[in-house]
Amino acid sequence: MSMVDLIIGIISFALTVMVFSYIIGDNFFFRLAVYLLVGVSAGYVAALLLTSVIIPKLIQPLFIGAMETRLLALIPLVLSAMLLAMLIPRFVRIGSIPMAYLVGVVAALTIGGVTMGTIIPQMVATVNRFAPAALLDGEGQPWLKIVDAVLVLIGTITSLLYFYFGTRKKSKGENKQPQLIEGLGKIGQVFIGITLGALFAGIYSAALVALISRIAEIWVFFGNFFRL
Amino acid sequence: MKKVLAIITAIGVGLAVVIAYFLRPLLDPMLELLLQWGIILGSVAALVGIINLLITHWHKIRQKKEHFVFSFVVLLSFALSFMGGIVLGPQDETYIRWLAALQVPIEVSLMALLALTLTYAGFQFFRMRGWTPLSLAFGISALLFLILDIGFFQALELPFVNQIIEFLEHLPLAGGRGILIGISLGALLTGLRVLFGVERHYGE
Amino acid sequence: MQLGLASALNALKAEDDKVSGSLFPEAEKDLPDLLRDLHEENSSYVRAVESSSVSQSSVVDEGSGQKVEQPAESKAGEDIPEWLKKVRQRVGDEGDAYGDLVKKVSARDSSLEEDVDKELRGQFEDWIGRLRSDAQQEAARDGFEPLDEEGLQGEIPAWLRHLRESKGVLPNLPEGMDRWSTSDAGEKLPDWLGDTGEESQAATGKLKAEGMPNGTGITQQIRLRGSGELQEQQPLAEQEHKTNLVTESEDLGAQAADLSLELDDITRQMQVSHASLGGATGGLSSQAVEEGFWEERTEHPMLRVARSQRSRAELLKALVAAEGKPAEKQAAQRRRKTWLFRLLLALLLLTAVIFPFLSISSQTPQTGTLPLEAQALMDSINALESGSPVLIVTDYQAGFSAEMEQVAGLLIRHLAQKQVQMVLLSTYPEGVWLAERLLDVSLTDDAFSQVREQAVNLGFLPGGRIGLLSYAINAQTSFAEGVWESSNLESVNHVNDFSMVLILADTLDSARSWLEQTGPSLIDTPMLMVSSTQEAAMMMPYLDSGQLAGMLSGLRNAGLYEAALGDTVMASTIWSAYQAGLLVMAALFLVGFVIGLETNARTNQEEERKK
Repeated sequence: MSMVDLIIGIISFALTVMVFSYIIGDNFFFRLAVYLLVGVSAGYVAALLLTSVIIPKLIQPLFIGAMETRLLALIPLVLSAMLLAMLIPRFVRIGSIPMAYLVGVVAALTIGGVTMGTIIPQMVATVNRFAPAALLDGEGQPWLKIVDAVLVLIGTITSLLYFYFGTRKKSKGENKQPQLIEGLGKIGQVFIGITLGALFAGIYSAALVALISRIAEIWVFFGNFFRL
Repeated sequence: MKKVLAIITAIGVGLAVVIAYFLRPLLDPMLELLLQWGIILGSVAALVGIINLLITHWHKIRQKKEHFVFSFVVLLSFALSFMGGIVLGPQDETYIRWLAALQVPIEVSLMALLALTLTYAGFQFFRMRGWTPLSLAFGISALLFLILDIGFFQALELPFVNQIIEFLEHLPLAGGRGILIGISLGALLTGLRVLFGVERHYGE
Repeated sequence: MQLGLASALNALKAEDDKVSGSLFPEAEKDLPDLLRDLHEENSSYVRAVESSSVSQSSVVDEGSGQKVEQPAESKAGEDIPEWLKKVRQRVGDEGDAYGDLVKKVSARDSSLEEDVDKELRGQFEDWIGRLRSDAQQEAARDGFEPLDEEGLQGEIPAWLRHLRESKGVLPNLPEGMDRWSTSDAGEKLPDWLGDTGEESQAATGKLKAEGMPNGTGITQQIRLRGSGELQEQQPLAEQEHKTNLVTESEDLGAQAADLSLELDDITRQMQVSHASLGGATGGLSSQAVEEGFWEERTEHPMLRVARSQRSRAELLKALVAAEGKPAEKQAAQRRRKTWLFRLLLALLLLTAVIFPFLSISSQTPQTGTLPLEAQALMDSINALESGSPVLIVTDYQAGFSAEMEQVAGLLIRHLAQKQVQMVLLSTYPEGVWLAERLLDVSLTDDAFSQVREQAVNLGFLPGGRIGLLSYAINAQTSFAEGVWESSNLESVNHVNDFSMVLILADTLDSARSWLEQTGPSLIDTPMLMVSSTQEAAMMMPYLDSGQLAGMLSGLRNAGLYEAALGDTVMASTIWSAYQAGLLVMAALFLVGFVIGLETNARTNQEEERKK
């Protein structure tokens, strides 16, 4: 174990203990670790953005290339300056134009993306389960595949119903949904509950692996340390 | 005037990108240019956010607000990390090593802490009064997937049990698809509202 | 006064409805903003009172900004019961919530000594007027009929008529509220109503003395009543204020109905503030309860309409018995218990997870069948030719590095065995160095050194979703100048030129961005996923639709994949610790389930019994 490894190991151990101290309650050491994380990651992100985006994509094109390219580079420069002006309270409103640009682009990409990447493929996949080829080909009993396809269809539709009508009902207590939708929404609740339960188990599982990893790392570090 | 300009910008750019998106690859050069500007602006916006964070902490130190010591920690760690990134480069081996030595233990420990706090949540979950179909399904499903993940039943290697497990593991698909389509429809609606100028998420 | 009436209305509401029809139109129940405003005003007032120099026997007149000198302690203080004396004594020792309440009692006592100031009375009436118009506006805005003052005035006499008829006080109520505001009305009213009258009078006195034209005092007043001050108030009222019982009843007749709307909330507040609540809403003093008030008057016709009061009084009794214990103390005890329990559970999990590290266990490969999606992923990698470019996206945070390095590390080794050219990038800033770390921890074997050297880290792909589409259009221009050129990726000009795209994602959002923005551009390149278990369930629809050609997630599947590869990198201690952790959680869920089952069954039984 080199000196650097030793120092890194000690820092790592100390930081782990500082974070874990939260078990006994919010305290100075826990906060210290969290604020340290904020500072370090912000510094890294700022450096990364400067070196891999701002300088090569915003500054360099102003000095390199054809005149047309340079003039075009002025547009993002002006918009960026307007964004930076938001830091001065008097000019906050100037920033709304570049922000509007960003919002417009993201909204457009969202429309295209969710349509082509999620809504259409997912709906097609739900329907395709009933295609004769899907039911007859491959392994498994066809009737089981039909049951499976029906289950997925019901689950998808009822979950959507609950998603929309169930939540709307809550906001307007007086406006009751028709009983059919209410009943279907309850079935949807079950399907959503199953999915959320699986996600909960997944979150715990991910967190558990993190816990084991910290313990394993400390275990190994001390193993190496005492072997020195 | 600025209001109108902002709305025109959002709608104009949004429509241009949507049209170019659906007519790909016909308008790819234009789309690429608009996207490149968007990438730059996104990065500058992130920088503005970071600068704002620093200013906030600086004010806390100057005004000696409660817990200003932590603000000092933020600024100091930022300065060291930023200077390291600029001088050595963000992909420098030594820089990354030290960065990882600080970030990984804290972030992984925070994640591990979640496991410890979730134990209490797990215990308390079913103890609440008034079970609903959603909460019951959630609890039973969580319990089931926890047990399945242990791998005890799979290790039995009984074909019938394996079939049941396969069926159970398949169950979240239906609800998941409903949630996904629901999220997507919501996002689509919000996107359309921005394009029609109804939703103005840009400080108007 | 309005407080007393409102309280009485609330207490009688349930049973009175049957007799004289509802005094609370449905529309009246829908004034949450008004209530919120009142509560907010109240809480700000509470703060003001707390900071004012109550102990110095003075109250700040907020209306005029002048300080009104008050006598240090009212005479009524001498008549206070023993327990209250103790509580007051405690105020000097500790400044807890209970002590504050008692301070306010003293403040109110002091305020009662004040003469009625005409100007302040005007302010008070202004406030009442504003309050009423606010309520009407609120109701109108909510789409309900505005509160009709006339109508309300008509309702209140009906209620009072019922009460008085039952008491035999007022057989024929004259028209208009002003008629029943006789000087001796208080004496003829039932005891409990007499109490409320006195309290209301006291409240009015307080409002005047403290100059609160903004209506800040009402909920405060009720809170004070909730704190057990009624015991203190009663003797005072008997000596001085009985004759003034209904002097303000003209306004209050209408106000009572308005204010009754608040009672549900207020009662809740009172419960929170620990003392008295239900009993007080029935206009009872806790002292009366202590003295066996109900036992003496059980035959009174009045009580037939106040059965609910009785149960509340019993609750009050119990609370009065526990007067000495401040709410804060109990809450602190509860918090400590919860904290201790949390700590115990955390220690239990830690012990379960650490234990496998202490025991010596042999290396046993996992048994079971590899899930279909993981098998598909394995097949896709097996189908790769040596030297084919594979794009690996490290879109995860450092917090998930432990899980990803365990699971994705396997695939990296598998890819290295196939001698492919790995190209890494990330849309997460930290993903840049996490990619390097992943290669370092996965390819420790010397046999992989060449693959490690040939691996290209393109670094950060900025812009999130925007950057991804830009990358799908033109892979090269998405990166800084020179990055692509130095990567020796001659054969790759477009994302579709890769033989495989492997995404390591920790969130659904990140995975969706790739699937939605880059996915449609992949014509014959399979997209595969290594997902954190926290989002694995949400990836299933994408697997089912064929947008993802394969997926691996979770430690168990990773173990099965490893076993299928014939690899034995994952330590059995890690797997055992993982199983132990899952077992602890499952057991806690089960125990909670059993307890919950019992609790819910008992609750249902209680509800049925009540019905």
